[in-house]
Order: sequence, then C-alpha cells, then structure tokens
Amino acid sequence: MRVTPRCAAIIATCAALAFFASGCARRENDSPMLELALETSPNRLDPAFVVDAAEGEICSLMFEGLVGFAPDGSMVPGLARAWTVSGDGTHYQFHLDTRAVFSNGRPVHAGDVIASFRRVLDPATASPRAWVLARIRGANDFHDGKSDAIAGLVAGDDSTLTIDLEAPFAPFLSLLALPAARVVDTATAGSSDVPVGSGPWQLSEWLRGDRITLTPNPHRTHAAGGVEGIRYRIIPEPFTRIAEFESGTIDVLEIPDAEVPRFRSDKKYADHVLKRPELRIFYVGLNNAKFMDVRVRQALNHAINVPALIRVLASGEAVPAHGSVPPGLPGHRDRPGYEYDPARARALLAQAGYADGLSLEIWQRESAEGNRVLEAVQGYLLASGVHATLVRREWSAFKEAVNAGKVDAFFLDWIADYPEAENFLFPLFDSANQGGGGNRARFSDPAVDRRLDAASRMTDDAAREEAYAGIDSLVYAQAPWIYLYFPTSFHVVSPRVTGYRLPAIYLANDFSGVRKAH
Amino acid sequence: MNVAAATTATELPREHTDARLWRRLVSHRSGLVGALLVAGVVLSGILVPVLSRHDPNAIAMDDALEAPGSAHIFGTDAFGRDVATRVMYGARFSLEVGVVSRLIALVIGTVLGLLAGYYGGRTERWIMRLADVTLAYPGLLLLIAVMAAVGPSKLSLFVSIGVVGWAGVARLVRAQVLTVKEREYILAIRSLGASDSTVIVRHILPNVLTPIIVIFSMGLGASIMAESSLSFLGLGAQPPTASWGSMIASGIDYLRVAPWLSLAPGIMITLTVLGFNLLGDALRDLSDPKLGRPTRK
Amino acid sequence: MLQYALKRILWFVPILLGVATVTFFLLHVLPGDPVLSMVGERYDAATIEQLRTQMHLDDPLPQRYLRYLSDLVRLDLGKSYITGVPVWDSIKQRAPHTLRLAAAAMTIAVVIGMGIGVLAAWKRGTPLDYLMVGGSVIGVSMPVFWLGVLLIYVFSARLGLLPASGFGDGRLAYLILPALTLSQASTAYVARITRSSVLDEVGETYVKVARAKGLSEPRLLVRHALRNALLPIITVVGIDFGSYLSGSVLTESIFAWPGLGRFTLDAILKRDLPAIQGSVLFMAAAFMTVNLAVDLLYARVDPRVKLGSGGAG
Repeated sequence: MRVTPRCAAIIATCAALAFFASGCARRENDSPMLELALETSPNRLDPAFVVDAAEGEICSLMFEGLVGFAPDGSMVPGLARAWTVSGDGTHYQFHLDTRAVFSNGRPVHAGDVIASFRRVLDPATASPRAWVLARIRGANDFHDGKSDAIAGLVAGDDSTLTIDLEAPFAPFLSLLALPAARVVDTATAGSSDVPVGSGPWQLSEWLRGDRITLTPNPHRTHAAGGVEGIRYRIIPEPFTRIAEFESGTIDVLEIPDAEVPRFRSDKKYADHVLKRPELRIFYVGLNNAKFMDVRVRQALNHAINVPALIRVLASGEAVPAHGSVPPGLPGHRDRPGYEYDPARARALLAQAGYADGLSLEIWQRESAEGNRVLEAVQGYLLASGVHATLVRREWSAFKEAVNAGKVDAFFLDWIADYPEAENFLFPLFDSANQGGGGNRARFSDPAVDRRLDAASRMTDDAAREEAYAGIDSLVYAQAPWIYLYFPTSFHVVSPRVTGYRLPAIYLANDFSGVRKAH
Repeated sequence: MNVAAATTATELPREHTDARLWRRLVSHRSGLVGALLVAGVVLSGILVPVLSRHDPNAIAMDDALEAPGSAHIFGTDAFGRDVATRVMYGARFSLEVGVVSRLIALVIGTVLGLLAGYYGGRTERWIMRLADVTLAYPGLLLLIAVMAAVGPSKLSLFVSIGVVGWAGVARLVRAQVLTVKEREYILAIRSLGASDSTVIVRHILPNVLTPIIVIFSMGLGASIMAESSLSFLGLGAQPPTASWGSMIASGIDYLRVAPWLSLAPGIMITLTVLGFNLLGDALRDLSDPKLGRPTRK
Repeated sequence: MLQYALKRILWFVPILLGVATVTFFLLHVLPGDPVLSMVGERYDAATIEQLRTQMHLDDPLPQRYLRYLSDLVRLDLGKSYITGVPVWDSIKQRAPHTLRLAAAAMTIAVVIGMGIGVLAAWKRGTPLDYLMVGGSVIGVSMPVFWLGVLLIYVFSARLGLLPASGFGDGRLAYLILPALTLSQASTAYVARITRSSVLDEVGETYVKVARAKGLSEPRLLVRHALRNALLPIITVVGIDFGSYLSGSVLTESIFAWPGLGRFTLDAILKRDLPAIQGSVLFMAAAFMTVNLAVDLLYARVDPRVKLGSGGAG
C-alpha cells in the first residue's frame, strides 16, 4: 500500500537529519590546544571597548601594555623594558623594548603607543574606557575636542616615550596595564573588528557565542614544548562545564561552590585543585541617598550571619568582609566587623524609627550566585523585621536602574582591575563616581573624597597604604553597604596539563609555562 | 477531523446531562484516579498549616541540606527550609495560578468564540486569524517574552498564561457554537425576532456550557505546566515563594549532593498534571468524545 | 489541493506580519536600555548618547516600526544589539542544531512510541499493557525540564555513562539525553495512538482473515494493523515536529544545546531586540510551514479528508 514506503521514507529522513543535520565540529579529547571555558561570551575583543573580565583576560593575551602583571600580581615590564618616575610623580619616562613586534611583523615604536592612546581618547571612537588615560596632561582637552594633540604624550625617538600627568597619581603604572592602555597597530585598526597586537598570542578564530581560538604570535619567542594554542569555549551552564571537564574536553575548570567538596575529596582530582583568594568583593549596596540614617545601614549589617552563609554557600572558604579592600592588597586590615546580632539590629532600627519593620527591594542581575546568596540574606533580614523583596532583572535593565539611583538596594560584586586598594576605594566610594562610575551606593562624604585625593598623590608606599587603610575604616564605619565576603575560587586542572598558574587578577594570565600531554 | 454533529449528550436538556455526567464519572476508572489525585493535591495545599509545623520561608543555615529523615520527610534545602512544607505551599501557588489563569483564558476565549461562531463572516475571520497569530507563536516563548516585559509577579502570571491560552479555547467554543447554531429551535427563536444577545446568552451559551467546562478542565494541566516552566526559568514565582518549578531549578546545583531537592517537587507536578489530565479526559469522554481531539495544536 | 496549498501560503504573510507587529510592540514595553549592555561598568553619558543615535533608538515609535517593516521586506533581520552579528547568520548557525535535536526526538518518538504501542496492543489486557499505558499517560504529565534533570542525574551523575549537557564534540553521546527529553510527550502520545489505532484495526475483517490463515500475532499486528494506523501517527508526529522546532526552549536550556530555542531565550533575557524579532519570526514561519506540509500529506494520503473544512478543533 502507498502509505508504508512513504512512512519508511519519512522515518529514514528523520534519522538521517538527526545524524547529519548540523555540521559537527569534531573536537578531539586529545586536542593539543589548551581548552578553556568561559561563562559569558565576549562581545568585543578590541581593547578600546573591552568592558568585562572575560574580554579583559583574552585581550591581555593578545595585546601588550607598557607594563604588565605577573601571575602573582606583581608588576613586570611589558613593551617598556625600563622606566623612571620623577620625584613629584608627574613625569614618567619609558624605554621601550626594541624587540617588540606586532603579530603582523611591524615593529612597535613609541609613535605606535601614542597613536594607540589617541585612538582610545578620540571622541570619534567613543570608547567607554577613555577614563583609563584621562590622567595624562591634555587628555581631557583632546577627548572633549578642544585640542588636536595630547600635550602629555611625547615620543623622544622610536624607543623613548615620556608621559606627563596633570597631577601625581600613584597607581598610574597599574592603569597602563589595563586593556584600554594596551597597544594596537593603529595602521590596521579600522579594517576589522579585532586589531593587531603584540602580545604572545594572536587571534586565529572567533565564532561569536561559540569559541575563540588563539595561536602563538609568530614574532615572539616561545618556550619549546608549549601548547599549540588556547581555545576558549563559551559554556554558560556550570553543569555542562563540569561534564566537559570530566570527559576531558576542557582542561581547566572553575569549580562551582556546591561541587567543591566533591572535587577536593575525589582521588583523581584532589591533587590538581588550585585555590585562589580572589581580589573581589560581594556586597549588597544600599541607596545612601534614600537610607540616610547610618543606624539603619548598620542594623542591616548586624542582621546577616555572614559566617553561616559562607559555610553553606561558599563551602566555607570565603572571608567575611569587614571593609572593602581584600586580603592580599596593601591597605587591607582585619578590623572588627558588624557581628551577627538580630537583637541589636532590631534595636537600631527601632531607634531610627522603624520599630514596626522596614520594607525594601533588593535588585539583582541574573546570576546563580546572586540567587543563592540573596535568598539567604532575605531570610536573615526577615528574622530582624526587614521585609526584602528580591527583584531580578537582566543586566542592562539592572544597570540602568541602579546607576540612576532608582533602587533601594542591589547585589553586586567588584573585581580588581589592578591590584591596588585605590581600585576599590576610589571608584566605589568617591562622590565623583556616583552612578555608572562605580559608586552605585551613592555614598558621599567630603572627608573621604579629600583623603582619597591626598592618598592618590602620595609617593611613599607605606604612607599610602596607611592612608587607604584609614579611608577603608572610615567608610566601613558608615556602613554604605551590607558587606558580605571576599570569595575564594577553586580551579581544577586536568592531570594532563602541567605548569598552569592561577593568576591573582584576570589580566595576569600567563600560559608561557603550560605543557599538555596529548 | 472536524467536530462531528452533536452527540446524544449535548442534545439532552441541560439538567439531565449534568447529573448523568457526574454519576458516570464515578464509575469511569481513570477519571476517578484523576479526581482523587487532584483532591489530594488541593487538600494538601489547603491543610498545610495543619499538616506541618515548619515555616516554609524561615532559613536555618545550620540545618542546610539534610537528607530526608524523621525530622524532615523530604529533607531540607540549602537554606535549611523543610522541603515537604515548601512542596505543599507550592501546591497552593501552582493551583491558584493554574485555575485563575485558565479561567481568564476561558472567559476571553468563550466570549470571542461565541461571537465568531454566531456571527460568522468577517467577525469570524478576524477573530480566527487573531487566534492563528497567537497560536503561531512558538509555545513557551510568548509567555517568556510577556513575563520578561511586565516583570514576574502572580498577577502577571495570571494575565500572561490566560491571554496566551484564549486562542485554543476560542477555536473549540466556536466549533461547538457552529453545531448548535443551526438547530431548529434556535432558528425558530431567531425567526421570531429575538435579539442576537438574547439568543447567544440565553439559548446558545447554556448548550455549550458542558463542553466549556470540559475545555476548562482539559487545559488546567497545561496551565499548571506553563507556570512551572516559567518558574523554572526564574520568570514565575520569586523568592522566597515556594513553587515547584523554581524548587527544581534551584535543586539542580545540588543534584549530586542533595538529589531530593529536585525530586519531590517534580513528583508533585507530575501527579497534579496527571490528575487534571485524567479528570479532563474523563469529562470529555463522558460528554463528547470528539471534543477537541487534537489535529492542530 | 494545489489551490488550497496556495491559499494557505498566502495567509502566511499576514500572519507573519501579525507576529512581527505583536513582537515589536511587546518588546518596546520591555524595561532596560540596550546600549547599557554594550558599555561596561564605568561609562560616560556622551558615549551613551552617541551609541543611541547610531542605533536610531531615539526615533519616535511609529518611525521605528516602519523602518523595521521596510527592513523585513528586504529580508534584513538586522544585527544583534549585543554581539553585532547579523541575526540571520546566527539563525543559520543555530537552526541546524535544533533541527538535529528535533529530528532525533522525532525518530525516538516514532520508533519507541510505535514499539511500545504495538507491544501494548499485542499484550492487551495484561499487566504489561497497563504498565505501558500508564507510563505513556505519565509521560505526558511529567514536566519536560524535570525529565531532563532526572536523566542527567541517573545517566550522568550516578552512572557516568553519558555527558550531562552540551554539544561537546558532536558525538552521538551528547545527543541522546536531550533527544530523549524532548521526545517525551510525543513518545507517550504516539504510543497511545498506536495502541488504540492498532486495536481498532484488529477487529477488521481482513485481519481476521489473516489470522485465520495462520499469521503469527506480532507479524499480523505490524504488517496489517500498523499500516493503517500510520496515518494518525504521521499527523501527530508532524505537528510535534513543528512544535519541536519552535518550542525546544526548555530542553535546550537544561542541556546547553546550542540551538535556536536557547538563542531566543537568551535574547529575550538580554533584551536583544533584533535577535528576538528575527528568531521568533523564523520559528513561526517554520511552524506554519510544517503544519501546512502535514496537512497536505494527510490530505494526499487519506482521500476522505476534505481540506479547508473550517479548521475547527
């Protein structure tokens, strides 16, 4: 009868489709490349437009700045092999490494550095990271279109560069390691999405949303026996990343909190688990323009049992935050914190006029970490008479509302761009940065502003450290946030990989010593 | 397959139909199972304050992630909350959302289906094309888009699931109206000069009431499933409100260390939807077996 | 029939237009500024303004709608707000993965579903029959996302046999769990329909004749009864295929399958308007196409069916 062959054909077609429909990218378990996973897909790989940690990490492999960071967080020479700073801290002179070459073969000259900086500051580029270079004398005039050149950037010859600042700024060298200050080959920059750089790796493949492949820069010397390339695959789900790691298609995995105990006790992986206290803080920012009574803010801090939260949700390895500067940075202090004390919380609230309880909304962006932590925070607040409603929004809606000061409270984290206390205190608490600049809690204290300004000009390291520690204490006493914790991250490395070092900050990834057996 | 001409059940006077229907339900085996399941879930939702002494939302981090045992029959979650209690409160939430949203779909769909079926012509075409547009949307995505647009809350769940469900209801109601419209006594009443609204409300509507009830119950399972799916994706119930879907989602992170977190709510969804499906199918079988046999989704 | 097919195809345009319009206006209610997705944590207002002008975000709504329609007519689906990649390219890249998943799910539904149905019909009345019928009823009531989680738990977390999620390197092992999950409701439905259709046929005369001639029961069921039962099965499977194409959001989400459903879900959550509009339109068009194909196939195969009879029910 007619029906049967037709139906057999249909079934056969389906089976065929099932097997052949998508062009399978055959990926071997035995890839000679270092296989890594990213949670979010980078949008831009142009250093002038890089805005998050994943993009920053990849850019730090492709592009070099005048200086860079070693995996332990210390500063190392980059394009500049040596430099001097004047006594008053405003005049920098860099001597460039004459061997520096872009991956297209062109040598890197001082003029290229200037051209690269100009591109970032150029109003036509509309770079969201122009602030990185704003301290250079004449930069703001150029950015505002009032002048055609940047007065503070001068190339002595092909390998000498001087930079003059408007005012002394101690962390300036660290800023030069940020993606926006990394050098691109401006001669070719307009022709594609991704400029040419002089870093140890170059981009060989970018399938947006899927993967990014880097291969060694042929014009750099690489130690023999290293990996043939680095491949980042975009895998948003933690479950999938774990599955891929266990089946050998990913070589390094950042272990989700809930799975850490399992990996640490698994014989196969226990020796390959790396631990890193992160230069990062999780907090619930409070709208200081709305909650103006410090007693309310302190009460909210007393209401949360951070150690218990850490024990369950962060496998016990995080450090409760009694300030905003993480352990490991100069300026961190172990000061006494707001102890878990619901009775005290209620008392403070009553004193402030909220004896009947307080209601507020806590906003968060989509994140698994946020979901877990905030439900616990919500529960603790409830026990102290505070009714918190959790509002989940996707990233752009969240940013818009928070930056405009329209929310009561928000859950966020802050990751160090460079290992300095200033990178936490200035963006987060200086009143000039209210809103999108980083100070989303709208904290404003002229005394803090003055002290931050003074500290940035100090040239003596010890004095500066004391100054920042003092500022952190001053801010902490005013409880602009509900301080949560400094996380510790755990990574597990495939037994086939040796020489992998976990960097202190995302810009300091160095795969130079990595070997992979395959 | 078109909905065929009226069966005996819909031709009988109303009162007899209902009584026979309910009597026959009791003897319909799977329908009875369905009814019992539904009753069980509804009762647990109503009686939870009596059945459990735990607070579904109070956190107790010291008791976190305990395995099922004597103190907590379904264990505790990552915040120390009793899973069994939360599951029962989840029943309340899902039932409320399921029933109300289905009612909204029913009301909108019935009104538009009546109008389309009765008036025919351009009215019918426009309404049916609007239904086609609604049904052309990829299933869950319209719901997700609406919830993302208006923000997750119980009210927006009611409205979005209700508004998305009207099209199927309208189609079925229209088909029913078509079979009733041409009956002799309807034609007689119209020729006597009765107004349209009178005919629709007092004569056609009562005759399609039974099928409408069946349509209502047939879609309840789907409404509850829709709410669970949205909650699973984080677009439905918001913390700390317990909903089966969101409980499954948060249990995934702990699947290896605490599998019971996702197990219990999943079983509840299955039993509840199963109960409503069996009940709905039974009601349909007993009143008009050809009603809504899917040839189109 | 050709006339009917043409008429249906003509209706595609207004319906798609309706879908596009509803989506467009729905999306403009969404809160959030897409420009903010593109800049990072520390931005300045001037850059934002510049980007907004570049993207025509400040034009009045009717003007944006007309621009959108004119782009559509030229088959230009625009570029993603987040990545800048043309939406059509993204669709082209992801659609085959969804197709693969859908095809695999359908194969499972047909093969396993029919297998169960025939088995249940053969052993009708026995406990095995009740088990299978009960199983298929439960299969329709179980949430898809829960089945996925269960399968991951059993086959990956506990037994370690199959990868938990992802596309991996394209091996079949990665396809199995998602396909099983997606096929859940269809398999159950096909099983039930197969069983009841086969049982309907079993009472027919020609079957009695065959049985009298001494054919064994299974062969009888498969050869004769099943053939005639295939028609309703095609219909069900055909419709489900359309809804797989468009509705695999949950499965793709749990298994991190790089298909169109997940792409659309991500786009909605990130408020990537062009991506949402483009993929919703594509899926609606695919769905309607498959439905039409099923209707035509059905009409071709069963001469009793008259097309265009109101489309009720």
